[in-house]
Amino acid sequence: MNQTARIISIYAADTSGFCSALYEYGGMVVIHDASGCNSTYTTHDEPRWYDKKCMMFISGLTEKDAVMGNDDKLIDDLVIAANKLKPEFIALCASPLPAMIGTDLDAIAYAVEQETGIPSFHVKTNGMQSYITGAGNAFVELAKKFIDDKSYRNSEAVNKTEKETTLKSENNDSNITGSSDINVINETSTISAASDKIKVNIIGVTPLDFPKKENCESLKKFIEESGFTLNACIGVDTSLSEIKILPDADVNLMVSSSGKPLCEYLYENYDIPFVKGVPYGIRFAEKIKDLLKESAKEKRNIDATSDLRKEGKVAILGESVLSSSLAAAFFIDNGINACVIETVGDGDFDILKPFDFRCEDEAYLEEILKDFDVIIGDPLFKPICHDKRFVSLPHEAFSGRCFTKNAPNFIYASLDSIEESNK
Amino acid sequence: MIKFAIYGKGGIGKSTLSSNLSAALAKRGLTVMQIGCDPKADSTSLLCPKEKITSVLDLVRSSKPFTLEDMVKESESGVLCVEAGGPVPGLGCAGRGIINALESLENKGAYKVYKPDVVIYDVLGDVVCGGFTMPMRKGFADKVYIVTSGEKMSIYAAANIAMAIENFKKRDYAKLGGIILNCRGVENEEENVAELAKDFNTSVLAKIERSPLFAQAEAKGKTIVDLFPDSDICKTLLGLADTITSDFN
Repeated sequence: MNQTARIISIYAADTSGFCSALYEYGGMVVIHDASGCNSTYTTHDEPRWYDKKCMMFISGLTEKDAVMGNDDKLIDDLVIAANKLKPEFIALCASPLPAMIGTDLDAIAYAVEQETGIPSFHVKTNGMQSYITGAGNAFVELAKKFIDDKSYRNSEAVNKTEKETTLKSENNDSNITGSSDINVINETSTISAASDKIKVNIIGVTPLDFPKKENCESLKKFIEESGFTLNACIGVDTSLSEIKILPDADVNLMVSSSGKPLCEYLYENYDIPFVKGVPYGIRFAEKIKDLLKESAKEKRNIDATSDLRKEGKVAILGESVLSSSLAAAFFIDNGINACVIETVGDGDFDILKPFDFRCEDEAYLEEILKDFDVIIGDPLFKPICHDKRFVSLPHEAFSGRCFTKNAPNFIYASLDSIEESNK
Repeated sequence: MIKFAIYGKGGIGKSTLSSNLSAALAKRGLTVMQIGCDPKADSTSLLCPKEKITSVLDLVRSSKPFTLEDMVKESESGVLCVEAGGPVPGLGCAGRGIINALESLENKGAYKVYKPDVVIYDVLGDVVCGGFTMPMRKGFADKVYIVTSGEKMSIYAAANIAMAIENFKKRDYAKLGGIILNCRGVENEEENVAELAKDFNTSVLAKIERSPLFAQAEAKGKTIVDLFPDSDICKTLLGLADTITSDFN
């Protein structure tokens, strides 16, 4: 049977990605659906559910409301709840039912914003795509709503003046606050000052791909110990103020496919380039450090894995950016060649090599895996891996919280621990 | 970009009027895209009579990759023609089909690639569900023009459409641009339509007289604008095209 999962699990849907991406930004997050139970979307794959509050709701759509086109009920409920809870914003997304009947959530968001004055927007989902699409769309819509072009341009001008003023003071060897007259500043000095303070956004962090607290801490540690300034981490350990200052960064580090739409948006609209790759291992992390500098300087998007991959008998199953990064890290850190088998069926396919596979079909996957000696993937893949050596690498978007506590953390750390974690 | 939708009762002449307006606007040197939003997929038959246009949903149904060029056909008069199409009659969901077709068109970059000066959405007469309001949603048409005769049922349908537009005000949908009287020769026709316009605080933009030229042009698979350029009807249609463009300006 094609496109059927008889044995293995399936990935979290776009609605879960939407919830995960917006979890920490203080908004009222609403899924227009018949269900009244949040666990369908969040609790099973949301480690923050038990220690961080989030205003997450299901609209409770009924058959009668759907048939009669009773959108006013949703609008009224949203207005009542928003006036009571005073969220930073209201975000709406559709489950399959409203997506199929074409409920205009853009218009509903507009009506609610007019009524409450609270920024409101719709994130495109239909409950049938993967978490990558939902999270990716959510990050972009949030950025569109909260990056203030006008104030950004003003703050850019202020930052530029401040940087140059400081520089002038240093050049003059004086403690007196410098003039804001930027015309007198020497151009070479300005570039050098800017490159010393490269600001980096980490884009595309959700617990669906990075479930453990240590994952996010390691990403931040990598940025700071590499001599960069962390501008924002989207979207774990974050807040709405980080979204507003996203354009202040010099370069973005795209750590998952969920971060791709926002990276592309920031590149197209604010000329901020991005480096694609998760800093797994030690040498690969070093490589990413160098590429972040190069990308910021040359304003060029770079795939950190591009020349660090060779076909091998090891298969890494999962999301494309994380898996390709791990394969590149194995190559440069341990001399191991690995193929990536992209199993989500969604996300960044550009990062894949000709010898990699795209496979979301269980029967086909089972066949492909016969050609490998070692398989690295979520434990729920193990039943179709025959008698091959299987290395467990839990993925929250695939198996929820089942195996999270055993998940190793390779970010900015030796890959040798993979052996330890599987003993 | 001028984007408007033509609504009205089934059989009132929306597709004939849309095709003639497309031809008239093209004659004024504008790049026009006409999008038929009807499962019957016959909106542009007067513009492209020789070949049946493959509808967007036919392309989607084929499950094969398709390009923007597969969706858009240029008529002899230079009008870019698109048919949304629909499911097999009696099956599926036609409203969802319109949504899918318009989204496919946008996702393939139709407006960015062809850069039309004018986009006309010719919408199915019976607005039976949310899918058929898609052309008047934000990002699509900015104005809606309703075609009606003075007949009771036509005015009833036109009033329902005008009321829907009124109700959608708080959603930032398309605004009512005006009413176009397509005469059927019934008693008190002008008065009835003028009253409708007054009720909705709008105006009658044009009165299109009954004429045998419509049937003659249709028999030849042409628009009046192309086939009878010196006729009074053609002058009326050109005048209506100018009124609409100045309405946007």
